[in-house]
Amino acid sequence: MNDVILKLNNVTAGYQNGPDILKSVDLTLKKGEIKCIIGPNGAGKSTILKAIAGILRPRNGNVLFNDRDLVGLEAYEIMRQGICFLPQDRALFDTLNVSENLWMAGYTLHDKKELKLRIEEVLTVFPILKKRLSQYAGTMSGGEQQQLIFARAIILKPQIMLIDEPSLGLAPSIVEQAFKHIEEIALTGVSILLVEQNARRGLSSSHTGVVMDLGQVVFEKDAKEVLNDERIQELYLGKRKSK
Amino acid sequence: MIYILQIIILGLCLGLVYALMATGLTLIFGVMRIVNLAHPIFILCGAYVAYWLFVLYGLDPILAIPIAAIVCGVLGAIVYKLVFEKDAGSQKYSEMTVLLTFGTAMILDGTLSFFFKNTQRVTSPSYATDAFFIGDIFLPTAQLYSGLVSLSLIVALALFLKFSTLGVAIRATSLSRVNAELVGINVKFVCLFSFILGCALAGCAGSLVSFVFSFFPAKHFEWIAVLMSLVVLGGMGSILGAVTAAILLSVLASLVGTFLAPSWSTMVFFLALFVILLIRPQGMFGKYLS
Amino acid sequence: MTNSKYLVPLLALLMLTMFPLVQFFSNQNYIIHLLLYAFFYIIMTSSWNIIGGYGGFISIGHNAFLCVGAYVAGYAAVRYGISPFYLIGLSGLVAGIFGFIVGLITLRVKGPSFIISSIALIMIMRIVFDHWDLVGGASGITLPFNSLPVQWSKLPHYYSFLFLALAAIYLNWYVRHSKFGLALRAVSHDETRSAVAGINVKMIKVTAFALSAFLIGSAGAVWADYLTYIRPNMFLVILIAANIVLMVILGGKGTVTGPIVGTVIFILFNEIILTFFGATELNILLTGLLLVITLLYFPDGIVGSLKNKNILPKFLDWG
Repeated sequence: MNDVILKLNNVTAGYQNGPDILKSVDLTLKKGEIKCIIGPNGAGKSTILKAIAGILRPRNGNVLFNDRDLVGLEAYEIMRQGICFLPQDRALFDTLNVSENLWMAGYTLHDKKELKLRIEEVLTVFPILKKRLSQYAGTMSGGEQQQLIFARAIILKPQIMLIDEPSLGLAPSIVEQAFKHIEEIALTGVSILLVEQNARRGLSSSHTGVVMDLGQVVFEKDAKEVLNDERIQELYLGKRKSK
Repeated sequence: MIYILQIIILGLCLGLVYALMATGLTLIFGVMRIVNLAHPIFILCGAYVAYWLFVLYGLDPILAIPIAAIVCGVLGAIVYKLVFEKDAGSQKYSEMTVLLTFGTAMILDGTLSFFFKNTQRVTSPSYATDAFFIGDIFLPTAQLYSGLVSLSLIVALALFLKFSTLGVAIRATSLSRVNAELVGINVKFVCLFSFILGCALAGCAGSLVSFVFSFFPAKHFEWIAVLMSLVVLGGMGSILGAVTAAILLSVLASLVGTFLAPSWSTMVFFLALFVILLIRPQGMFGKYLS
Repeated sequence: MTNSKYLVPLLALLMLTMFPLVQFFSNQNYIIHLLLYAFFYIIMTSSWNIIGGYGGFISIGHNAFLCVGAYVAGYAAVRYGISPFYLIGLSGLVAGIFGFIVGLITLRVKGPSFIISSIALIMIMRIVFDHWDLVGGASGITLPFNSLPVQWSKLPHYYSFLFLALAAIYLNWYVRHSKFGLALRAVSHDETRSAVAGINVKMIKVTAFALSAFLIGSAGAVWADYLTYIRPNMFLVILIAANIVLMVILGGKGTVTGPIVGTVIFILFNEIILTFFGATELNILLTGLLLVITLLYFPDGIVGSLKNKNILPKFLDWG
């Protein structure tokens, strides 16, 4: 649990010619850890994930993955190193069916037999998908799409998964299921960096919580402590008034 | 009756050539979302390569296909590096990109015109004047050969896209660029490769065109509209669609050409374009769910 | 400072109005030709700018309306003996109505589809006019010469074009600063949002298109008389449309003065090429090269780029 797998040093990033969205952010992620980033809108939560995944190129600082700097690599190269990014809008190939989506996920695997095995393995984890193999991804429900996204990611056996808003647009019971999957994935040794608007739900599945505001990390603590911290509750979790 | 059948078969052969002319265009549009108005001029470049190889060295235009493909592919790579590389990186399509391709077409048009003037040319290999007779049906050899070669090239392309790794990457990129990148596809490389492949296909088509149609540099303006009508009718980015549209419209055009007047036949393509826009305005960007 | 904003254009206008007086002293027909040619293209670029610049619909087929205007005037001149100058309004009107109908069909699509449909329009018209015996088919119509002495023969065209160019520039300015223009620019950004904001998207687009067709059609009548013969292959070639697009982009699309600056510079550039290289196919090459370089390095055009850097001379800053 203690070896650091991802380390952000002094990362500054922004969009095109706009202002800096991230201002000198430092962050670490350990093996098998689930880390949840919370904070108000515009705090730069999603931007961190994009900066790590290479969709946005940091202006300054470095992103060390197993002590190798990722800054400057293209998104596909970073992905091939073993970092999977799951964006908010569930980047699925809408006009391909489930089976084709899974095959496409394994595009970088050259051993097709291995890929076939892994797909079968994933289908036992997500049995619903097995029934929908020939359905177009775009026509499935939000929950099913979410499962397909997870399935697609774990086929590649990544070391890190970056998940942006897994609960977005899902019914409460489906949200529960999604977080159960996230916890299970982490148990297999995958590190997960999570951004979640539903802060309480996100933190309760995580090991550590990071609070961000105005592009900076305000503080970082054990997820339980963040949940119980009076000040945090007041500022970011919407503390309930007296019982 | 035999007469009509004959016209249809001739239209079919020409349709296959048109289809090959359109596939490169569709491919580039699918992957890069660029409507390449310079595509027809690449076809012309291919035609000139085949023409001069035939005139100077007596090389059969069908055998000249690989050379024309390489020449056009290299030309495509140069044009891509100089003109489109910057734009290919941006996700957002802009009208300006179309104008860029138009400017490129004018540059190549001017260059070809400068060297070859406005002389009408046609390659005339020995079989250009031959014909097969099947019963009463008369089949000019040139049309038959060009149709068959086009068909086999299109099939080869389809197999490549269906089964090869790069082909899969091309299809994924044309479905969604972001997603392709997220599953680890080098999108920039796929764009470059598709552009070169598209231009090489234009070169192949050019070799065939060189003995089917007579050509001169300004001819490409006419082809722009003809090819666009095929691509729009077929649903932008769909190769199967473009091939179907090509065969359909070409048969129709040869019927019109026979019963009305030959010079009216291209009208079919242009009118088709308008009609599609009229009844299905989402035309080219309409979703083509399988 | 504000004075120079009005002073320079007024001075230029005064000089252009008085220029034909030099004919009393020496025959400067070539310069007059160049000037009226520039006016002619300013009419077309300014009109194109209404739909292409503010509306964002890039048409590579606007010469279709020039053709319609020229043929209406040319046909009436030959058949009924009416001078094309009396038919400027009618030619414009017919071209405008034609533009309205075409717009109803083609403006339903955006972006590349629209560009392609505009090319198809010229192709269709070319075939139709080539086969239309009533208007002379491919050999076209020959108009009667005017009976003025050589020295003065170009002046009716000179002043008509000057007047029409002023009208086109004014219309451009009006569209830029009116509510109609605001709606048009809103539509070019996002049609759905504009519709939600209560804009009649379809009417706005089609009206702007018809308006630009109207002006170009009017110019067509004068142009027909100036050329004295009209043939489909003189009007319905993509090169004319390409020149229009290039001029506007060179000057800066979506600005009032951009089309004027672009036209003047392009015509000068063309003259220089003609002087040094003669009339060769290199013209097409250089036009294409200029288009590509402008698009790659100065996509906002001369006026747009200067404006971005805040160094646009006052007299060019009309919005």
